[in-house]
Formats: sequence, structure tokens, C-alpha cells
Amino acid sequence: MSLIRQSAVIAAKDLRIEVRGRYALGAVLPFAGTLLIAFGLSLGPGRTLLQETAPGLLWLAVLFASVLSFRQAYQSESEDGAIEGLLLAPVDRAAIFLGKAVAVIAALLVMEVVVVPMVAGLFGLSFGREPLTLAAAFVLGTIGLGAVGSLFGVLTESPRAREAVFPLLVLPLATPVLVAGVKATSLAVGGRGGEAGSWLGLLVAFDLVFLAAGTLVFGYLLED
Amino acid sequence: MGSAERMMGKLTARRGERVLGWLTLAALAGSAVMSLVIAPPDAEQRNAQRLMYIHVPSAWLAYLAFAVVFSASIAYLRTKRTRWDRLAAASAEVGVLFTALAIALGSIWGKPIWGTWWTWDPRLTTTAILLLIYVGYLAVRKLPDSPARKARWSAVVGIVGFLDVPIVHLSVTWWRSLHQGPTVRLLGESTIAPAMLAALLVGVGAFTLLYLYLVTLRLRVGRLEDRVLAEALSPRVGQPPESLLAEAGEVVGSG
Amino acid sequence: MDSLWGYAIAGYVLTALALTGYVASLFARARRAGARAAAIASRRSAGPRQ
Repeated sequence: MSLIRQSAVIAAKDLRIEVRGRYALGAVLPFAGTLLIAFGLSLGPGRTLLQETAPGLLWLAVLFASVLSFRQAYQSESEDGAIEGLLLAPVDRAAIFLGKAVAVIAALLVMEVVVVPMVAGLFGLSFGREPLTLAAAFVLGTIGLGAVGSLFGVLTESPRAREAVFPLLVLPLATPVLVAGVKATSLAVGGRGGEAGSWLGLLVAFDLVFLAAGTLVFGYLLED
Repeated sequence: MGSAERMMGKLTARRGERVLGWLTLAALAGSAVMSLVIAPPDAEQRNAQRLMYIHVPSAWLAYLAFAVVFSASIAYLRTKRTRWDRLAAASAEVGVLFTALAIALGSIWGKPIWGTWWTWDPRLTTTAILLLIYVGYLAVRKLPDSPARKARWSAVVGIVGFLDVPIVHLSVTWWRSLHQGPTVRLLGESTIAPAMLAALLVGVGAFTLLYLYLVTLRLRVGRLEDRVLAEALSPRVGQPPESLLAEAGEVVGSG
Repeated sequence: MDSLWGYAIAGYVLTALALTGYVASLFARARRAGARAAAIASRRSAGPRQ
């Protein structure tokens, strides 16, 4: 089975678990919502400030949501020794990395479809001006977060890493996604989507580097 | 290797370390004289500009140390030899020191020039993120897990982190350039006076020696701490193994 | 200070303190580890506890 095929199988498995357990929808999405309302409460109710900060707050919520999602994605493997079963199967280690990344990215994208209109409502913004640029920013940024989270999510096997080390690693490494994603989103909201080209390019570069690096080194994380 | 040869090896290594230490001290002293006495004050920044002679070398070594962590991490994953893991750990710890120092000095330098302690200058901001990545690396090393696993995990962090730094720098530079505030660059565009350039180069040289010395010391600490674990785990008569592991853990756990 | 010497001195003093502190801590760690290794090894050769 090719790497793509194997990754697809693993992604399908993880998505099936998600559909049955509804972790993303049941816990992460409400968390994102709560976070955004908290942001609104701490920065509002003045409209101007909220409108200016909306893209940043939105992306912060996505960032935290991705951390939670990957914790869960790898947690399900530690339960009942599922990870041993996965390792014993003749599966390319990189397929686990890619498969889990795809599954969480899909879940996050679904979440974003709900959260973006929510932010539009709460913070008084129109996201409809440049839908293509907006979609590109979110898709590319989420892929980047997916690559980083899927790679280091393995560390959550260690209980102490689960608490603070995993977020500590993800946040600084994901800085380019945060910066580029927020900028591209702001430009899209402001109707200047044409200027977002370099930011989107940066996201593409980030995604390629992390997907490639992750594919190459993921195996070492699972060795024992 | 016979024990006599081993002892000779150890003595020469210690002697070499001591010589390097004194050389480093001399180089730093000479650099301080050049930076504080011989180099002239800057026309605009006056004597605050002298911070350049320690800030720039610190930053240079911070990034060099991370490059060493990157290379040693790759070497470790490929060869599985402990020496590379030890080098990566040593360079990371020393690197954290230089990175934190570079940021602190950059901030102190910026205060009289910018009028504030922090202006999100792209290079300083990237260095701050570098510090966080280093700290993450060291945090992974401190996890309560098997040494081999921690070595492999931190190697991955060291490799991926290093690849990320240029992307971070690019993104922060573009981000900052959107706001051409009245911030003055610490290092001006104008050509640098020869006495200043000389002081800067001496500073870089002295700090490079310092990096080598600190890594040498830290490698020795690493070898000794590994030896404690080895001693505790080797077979023995009559001593319950848990107590020995506990002893070893007290030392190695702090590494 | 008019010539801004204060900032320069502060930076140099900070650097000196940080470096000295780190070197001292490394020597202390080396000493401690060496002592522990020796203690464990000597207990091993001494045999079972009395």
C-alpha cells in the first residue's frame, strides 16, 4: 500500500472515531466559542477595538483548538494499547503522521466554518468580501497547524508533556502561521485580498517544510 | 585502553580545558578593554552603543549554538551515538544562556535609543522565539522518560526548530515592516569606524572561545552525570537496585 | 548620565554576572556528579551492607 493510501486509511479511522465520539464538536468547538466570548468580554464592548482585533483573536482560538484536538487524537492511541497495534501493523510510520494530520485538519476546518460566522456576528465584521482569500488563508494555515501538531502530538504520550510541554513547543513553532494567517485574514476582511499573496506564499512554504520534515523524522519519535 | 592511558587521557583533557578557560578569560578581558576604552563613543548613541560589542556576539553565538544543536541532532538520529546527543544537550543549554543574554542586552541597548524597552524589532523578536524553542527543547529533555527516548524526541525538536527559525524571521520581518514607526535601528546603516569594527570582531572572537569553553565544561558535566547512571545500573552484589537508581535519579534528574 | 555610560555598564555587569554564575554552576554540578559516581562505585566494591 502506498504512503498516500495508508495515510488515507489512518485518517479515515481517526475521523470515524471523531464522528462516533464527537470530541471535536462536543468539546473543542464549545471551547473555541467560550474563548471568543471571553475575548469579547475582556476587550469590548467598544466596536472598533473588537473589529480590529477580530482576526487575531480568531486565529488564537484556532491555535488553541488545534492543540486540544491533537492531544485528543494521540490520547485515543494510548488507551487500551492501541498504539502497539498500530505499530505492529505493516504501516509506514509517516502514514500515521500524515493520516492523523489530515483527520485533525478536517475537523478543524469544519470547526472554522462554524466559528468564522460566529466571530462575524459577535465582533461586527463582514467576512464575505474576499471569500477566496479568506478560505485560502484558513485552509493553508490549518494545514500548517496540522503538520506541527501531528508531529509533536506524539509527545503527549508522556503525561507531563501533555500538560505544558506540547503547547510550549507548538506555539513558538507555529508563529509564522499565526502572523501570516492573521495578516491574510485582515486583508481579506478589509477588501484588500490582492495584497495577501506574499502571506499566503509564506503559509505554503511553512506547510511544505513541516509536512516534509514531519514525514522524514516522525518515525524517530515512535522508536523505542 | 589501559587504566594508565585512561588517566593520562583524562589529565590532558582537563589540562586542555583549563588552558582553554584561561585563554577565554584573557580574550574576554582584551575584548572588554577594546570595547570600553579603545573604541570611541558613537556620535548619536554615545556610550550606550558600546553594548553592541557584547550584544552582537551573544546573538551570533545563540544562533551558532542552535546550528550545532541541529547538526548534532541529525548526527545522533543517524548514528545513535551518545556523544552527539551529549553535544546537542550541551550546546542547547549554553545556547539558552547566550540567547537570553542577547535579548536582555538588546533591550537594555534599546531603552535609551528607542525610549522603550521593547519595540518588536524583528531580529530581537525572532531571537525571543528562538529562546522559547530552546526552552521547549530543554523541557523535552527533562521529561520523566527513558534517556534514549528523550534523546530522540529532543533531537526532532532540535531539527524541526532550526528549520523553522528562518521562516519565523521572515514572517516577523514582514509583519514589522508594515508599521514603519519612528524606530531607529540599533545598528545604523552608516559605515562603521575601524576602531569599532576591530572591537566588534575581537568581541566575536572572544565569545566564540567562550562558547567552546562552556560547551567543553558542559560536556564534562554530561559525561559525569551519565557515569552516575551507569554506575547505578551496573550489576552489583547485595545492594537493592531501587536505592541506587534513586541516587542516580537525584543527580541525573536535574540534568 | 549624559553620556549614557550607565546603560553600557549595566549590560557589561549583567553579562559578567551571568557568565560567572553559569561557569560556577557547571563546576558545582561536575563536582557533585563526580562525588556521587565515586560513592556509588565504592559502595559497590564494599559489597553488601552490614
